[in-house]
This record gives sequence, C-alpha cells and structure tokens, in this order.
Amino acid sequence: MRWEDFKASLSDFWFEFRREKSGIVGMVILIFFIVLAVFAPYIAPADASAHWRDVPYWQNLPRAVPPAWTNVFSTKKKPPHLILQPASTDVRQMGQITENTFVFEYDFTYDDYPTDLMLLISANITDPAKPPTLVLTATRPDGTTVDLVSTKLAGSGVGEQRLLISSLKDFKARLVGFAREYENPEVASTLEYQLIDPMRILFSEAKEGIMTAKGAAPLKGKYVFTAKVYTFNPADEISEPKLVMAGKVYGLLGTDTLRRDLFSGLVWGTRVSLAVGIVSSVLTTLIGVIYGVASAYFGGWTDEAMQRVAEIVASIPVLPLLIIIFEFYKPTIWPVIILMTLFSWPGTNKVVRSMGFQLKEMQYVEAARALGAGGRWIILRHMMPQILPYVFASIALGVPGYVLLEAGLSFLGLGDVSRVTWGQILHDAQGSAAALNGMWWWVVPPGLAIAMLGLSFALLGSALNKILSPKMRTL
Amino acid sequence: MGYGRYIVVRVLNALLVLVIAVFLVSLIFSSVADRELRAQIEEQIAAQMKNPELLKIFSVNKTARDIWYQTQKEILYKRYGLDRPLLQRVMSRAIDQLKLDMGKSHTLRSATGSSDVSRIILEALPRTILLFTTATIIVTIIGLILGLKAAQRAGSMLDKSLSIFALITYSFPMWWVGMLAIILFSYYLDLLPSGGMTSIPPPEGTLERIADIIYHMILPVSTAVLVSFGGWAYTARSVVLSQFQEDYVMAARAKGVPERKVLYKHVLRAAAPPIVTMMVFGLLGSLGGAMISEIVFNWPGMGRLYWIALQEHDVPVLLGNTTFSIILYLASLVIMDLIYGLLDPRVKVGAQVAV
Repeated sequence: MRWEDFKASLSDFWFEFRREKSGIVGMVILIFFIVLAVFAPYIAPADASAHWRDVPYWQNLPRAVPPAWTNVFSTKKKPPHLILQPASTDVRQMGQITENTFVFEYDFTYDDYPTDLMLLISANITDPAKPPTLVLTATRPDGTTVDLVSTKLAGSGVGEQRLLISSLKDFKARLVGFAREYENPEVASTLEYQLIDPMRILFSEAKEGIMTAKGAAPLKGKYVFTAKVYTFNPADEISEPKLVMAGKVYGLLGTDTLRRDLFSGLVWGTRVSLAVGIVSSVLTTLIGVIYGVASAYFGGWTDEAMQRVAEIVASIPVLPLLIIIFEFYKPTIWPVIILMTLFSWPGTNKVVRSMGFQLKEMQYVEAARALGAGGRWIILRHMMPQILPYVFASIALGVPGYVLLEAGLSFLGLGDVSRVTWGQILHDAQGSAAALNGMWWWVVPPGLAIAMLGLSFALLGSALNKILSPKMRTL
Repeated sequence: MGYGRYIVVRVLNALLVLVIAVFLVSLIFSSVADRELRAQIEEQIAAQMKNPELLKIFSVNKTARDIWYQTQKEILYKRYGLDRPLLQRVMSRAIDQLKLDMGKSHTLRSATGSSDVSRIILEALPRTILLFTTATIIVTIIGLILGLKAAQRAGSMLDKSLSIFALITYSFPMWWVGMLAIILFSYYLDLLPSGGMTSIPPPEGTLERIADIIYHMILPVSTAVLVSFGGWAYTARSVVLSQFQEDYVMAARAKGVPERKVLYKHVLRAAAPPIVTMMVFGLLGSLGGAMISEIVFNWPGMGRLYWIALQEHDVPVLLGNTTFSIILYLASLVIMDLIYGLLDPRVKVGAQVAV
C-alpha cells in the first residue's frame, strides 16, 4: 500500500467514523481515561501508587469518610478535612527549658463533629532520655477552657512526628470530666464509657445531653487551641507544627478504612487497567491472526493439527488456571499480561482462519501463486490487508474482557501488588464489608471506571465493525 | 448413530482437555508445594525432637542427634514422595487429582468438620450449580424472548434500547453489580438479605427451608440475570436477523406461511445451533463471574471457597477447587455440545460436521 492510498483510506475512514455516534462517545470516554493515565502524577500525588500499601503514608487523612461534595446534597453540613497552621508562635527560654507556644484557630461552623484531632510536628531531639512535653488546651466559643492533653512526644529521632491526640486515654478522660459538670448525673452514670465520643464533647454546647449522641448540639464559633511544647535541652528544635482536624468528608472520592485517598487510587489504577487491557488484546489478536492465517494458508493436515491444538487451548478454563498461577508465582504486571494472552487467542484464530480460507480461493491469490509468489509474500501482501480491518475491531472488542479479567483477579487479591488497581480497591472494599456498611463511595467509582473503560472499547469496536465490514451495516 | 459418535468424540475431547489442564495445574503447583512440604517436614521433626527422652540422649551425644535427624528426614521425604524426580511427582499428583483424592486441608473444614478436601468441595459444588443453573435458565428464557422480539422489529425502540443495554452491560463486572445491589437493596432499602444461603438459624421444616434458600437467592440470581441477559438477547437477535435475510424465509412468506410460523418453525429451527454455539462462550465466561459474585454475596459455593482458601493460603483446597472448577467448566461445555447436537440435524444423520 502506498502512502497516498493510506492517507486517502484514513480520511475515508474518518469521514465514516464521524457519523457513528456511538463510536464518538466511545472515543471521548477513552480519551478521558488516557488523559487520566498519562497525567496521573499531576492529577494525584506522584507517590500515591507506590505507597498504596504503606499504611503510615496515609495516616494524616480521615478514616472511611465520604467525598466532600456530598455536603452539597445534605442539609447537615459535615466538617471537611482541615490542616491548620499556627496563627501565632512564641518561644520563651526558662533556664534549660524552652517553651514553644503555638496558637491554632479553628472556625467550627458545621452540624457534625470532626472525627479525629492530630498534631503533626517536626522535632530534633538531642537527648532521647529527655523527650519534649506537649500541653494542649482549647478555648471554646462559650469562653470555657479545657485542658485536652499533657503528654510526652517521642524522644528520639529527627523528622515529623504524628500524634493522634483524639485516641489518647488522657484526652478522653479529661473531656469526659469536663462534660460531667454539665450532664445529668443519672444519664452520665448509665452511659457506657466506650461509646462516649470525646470529639463530640469538645465541639458541643456545654449543657445537659453533651455526653450522648442524641442530646449533644454542636457549638459553632471560633475555637482556639494552644499547644505548648516544652523541650529540656537548649539544642532541641521544634518546628512546623500543624493541627489536623480530620473531617467527616474528604476530597473528591472520600477515603477507605485505611485512610487512603480513593481518588488517588482511582487515577493511578487507570494506568494498569488501560495497559493490561490494550496490550493483552493487541497481543492476543496478533497471535490469533498469525496462527489463523497460517493455518488457513497451509491447509490440510497442518490445518487440522493446528485447529486441534487451538480447540484444546480454547476449552481450558482460564480463571481457575490463572488463580493457581497467580497465587504461586505472584507475577508483576507484564507477566500478568502474557499469562492472560496465552489462553485466549483461539477465538480470533477461528474467525481469521475462516476468512483466510475464503481469501485463499480468490483469483488474485491464485494469480500471485501462478506468478511464483511464495507463502510469506501471499500471506503478507494479499491476505493480511483484507484481514486487517477485522483485526482493529477485534482488538477493540477484546479489551473489555481483559479489563474484567484483570479486575476479577485483583478482586480475588491476586495480581501485581506493587501498584494500585481498581480490582484491588474493590478487593479491600469487600474485605472491609464496605457494601454491607453502605460505603458507596468506596464501591461505586472503581467498578464504574471498569465498566466505563470497557464500554468505551465496546462502542469503538462496534463502530469499527460497522464501518470496516460492510456486511454488518445491513444488520 | 451419528449423534452417538458425536457425543463420544465430544466427551473424549473434554477428557483430553481435563487431563492436560490438570497436568498443567500440577506442574505449576509442584515447585511451590514441595517447598511448603519441606518446611512442614522440618517442623514435624523439630516437634518430635522436643521429646524429653530424645533430648536426654542428644544432650550427651551430638552425632546421634544428627543421624537421627537425617534418618527422620529421609523417612518423611520417602513417605511424602519427595525422593522421586519432579516429573514423576507431577504425574502422580495429577492422577491423584483426577481420582479426586485430594488429601487433607490445612485449616478449612467442611460443615461436618471433615478436613477431607474433596468432601469440602463436594459440599460447595451443588450450591454453585444451584445458583448458576437457576440464573442461566432465567437468562436463557428472557434473552431468547427479547432477542426474538427485537429481531422481528429490527430498528424499533425495543431493538435499539436492547442493543445499547447489551453494550453497556457487556463490560460490567457481575460481582461489582452485586456489591451495588447489596448497597441498594440490603443497606438502604433493607428488603433482601445481603448474603448467605440460609437465615441464621435456618427455619424449621422442609418447605420453609426451601423458601428461605429461594429468598436468599433473589439478589445473586437477579444480579447475574441483569448483567447477562442483554448480551444473550443481542446474540439471539443477530443470529435470527441474519436468518431472516435467507431465501427460504422469503419462500415461506411467499407461499403464505403465517409470520408466527415462519419465525418459530423455520427461522428458529435454523438459528438454534448458531445461537447455542455463540452462547457457549458467554455462558462459560459468566461462570467465572458468577463464582466471583459468590464472594460478594457470601454464598457458600466454590467461588467463596476460593476466596477463603486464598486468604488462608490453604493450598490443597485451592488445588482441589481448581480441579473441580475445570471439571465443572468442561461438563458445562459437554452439556452445551449435547444440546447443540440435538438441535443441529446434520449431527443426527451423521453428516460431515466440524466436530
């Protein structure tokens, strides 16, 4: 085929393709996913995929909360995730002891309570035996002041420390003590300690009912948190304090029970699904086409034997076999692709073989043979160009199957564990009973992504089929 | 005669594939299993060495300890067949699997407390078959009816929406739709049980028990039907539509055969074999999806057994489950072949058919 011919047929093709609405829709969806995959490091944190299984990496986020935009549809405004920087900083030297005072201001205007309170701080401690001490107090909008916690920070090492204040026993004990002054003593004595939420007490009106979920009313206004960090060696350094108000909503797609940002997972998962789907389908189709054309060209006993082998491979159940291979060999993404293609080429082979048989009988093939053309020449120059259109449609229509297969294997907890995939997100969702607990934001997006990616290729494939094989047009 | 020979060829073919697949599985598995077995043997010897009598002797005589260790190891290696070459072990393992002699599980137990792998799986197998066949029958009926209706009125609203629906559900993971169904019908609407096969505890009386199982099947079966019927209907529609363009249909219409009769007596008769052929792959594809869906619905079949065995790393169960899945898959294939043979008249008269 000459370049001009190629250009002409391409523009012909585009002219027809433009009129296939379904094909255009498929292409738009596909481009969306390709953009997500290519720009993943810019859309989501660049190291999110590599750290997907690294639990501490995600610890600054809230646990299992829905997306932030759910607030729009709810009359009860939930607090978003906020990282507060100190409004003012003060350092006082008292002999050997240094007092670092950090003041944080939090505007609480929500109808629900933050889930957690965390302090992030960088500490450079010279003597591990003398760890710094933290004293945290809160001044509420009603003027009351509550001592929240007084605790030692970890004594050794340099770098950022993370203190989950709301899970400290001391924090809860002090807030329960504060609440008892206001709560009906009868109610307070019957409450089960486990069920009292200290964060609720901290952000509720100081009146009867403060200790119960039903009775508590959010106290809106400005909260001032004063963190005093005492170090016992003049060389010690304390810097970059941040107070994290872990919200009840987070980001575009919320978080899972390991506090991971599901949006990052979804974006990064696009790469695996796209790569697995496209590469597997291309490989399978290529193998199937070559095998099928060769089988048809040689014919006779060779064809018989080749089709027997193909039939056996076709009836080998892929899923059980892949489960065993994956469980024992724990392959990374590229072996996964090769393994998936190894068992799925016979379908393409069958169609191509029957096309090949028809083509073989064509007069121009006969003419070429009479002119002394060899097998490779005939296959490449005379048979392949006729089969090629089918190949493109077949590749596109094959992709959804591989995307589904990869997702299914990931869902079973198999497959490449070094990166995040949509199937893995759903695996974790199943493991944490997300569906039973109504955590739709964890279940819906990955599955929808799988379905949409598959749909885009199915639409493209059926459009290609319509354009490239005229027989289909009448149907 | 023709049908009998056809069946024999199909069954032999399935058996050949079964042997090849099980051999492959045994081969894949052997290297890893041997490693595990060696570790187990080490553990076993270490446990035996804790015997105070032996310890007393060993504390005096160090060489006795080494010799004892070596002989114990040899005895156990021999008992577990680790002294034979790899290929021989793979063969014998494959034969054991084919004889359904699958050994003991590590941690999983059957409902009766047995650790016999084939017993554990035979408990799960009928439940998978129950769920899968129920769904398949419903899908076939709905798919055929809708497909025929769409083919009769090609280009109508029904036809168009069916094509779109088939395209969309084509790429839906069945198990994910199951999770959505649980969120909607169990969590938000609280209409149907989220999982399991029976209530806990199961109700008294046979009838009540059957009703209870059916109640628990509603969600998994409707999920499977929802995801699959579009594709089936679309397949049936395409095949029937291509038959409508054949000359014999025109001839039948020309001689005044009523349209209903044309459809059911002529077209369907000719369209049935290709429909079955095309549906074989859809069916076998959805078997995998159905097994994964069991996990979502906590349905105690083979799919959920996979999930548990994978999480517990219970290798004998995993292997046995794989063998049984292969058997189930090939059995469905043979059944489809039988139906195909019944529908295709060329098979019955023993004409040349691509077997």
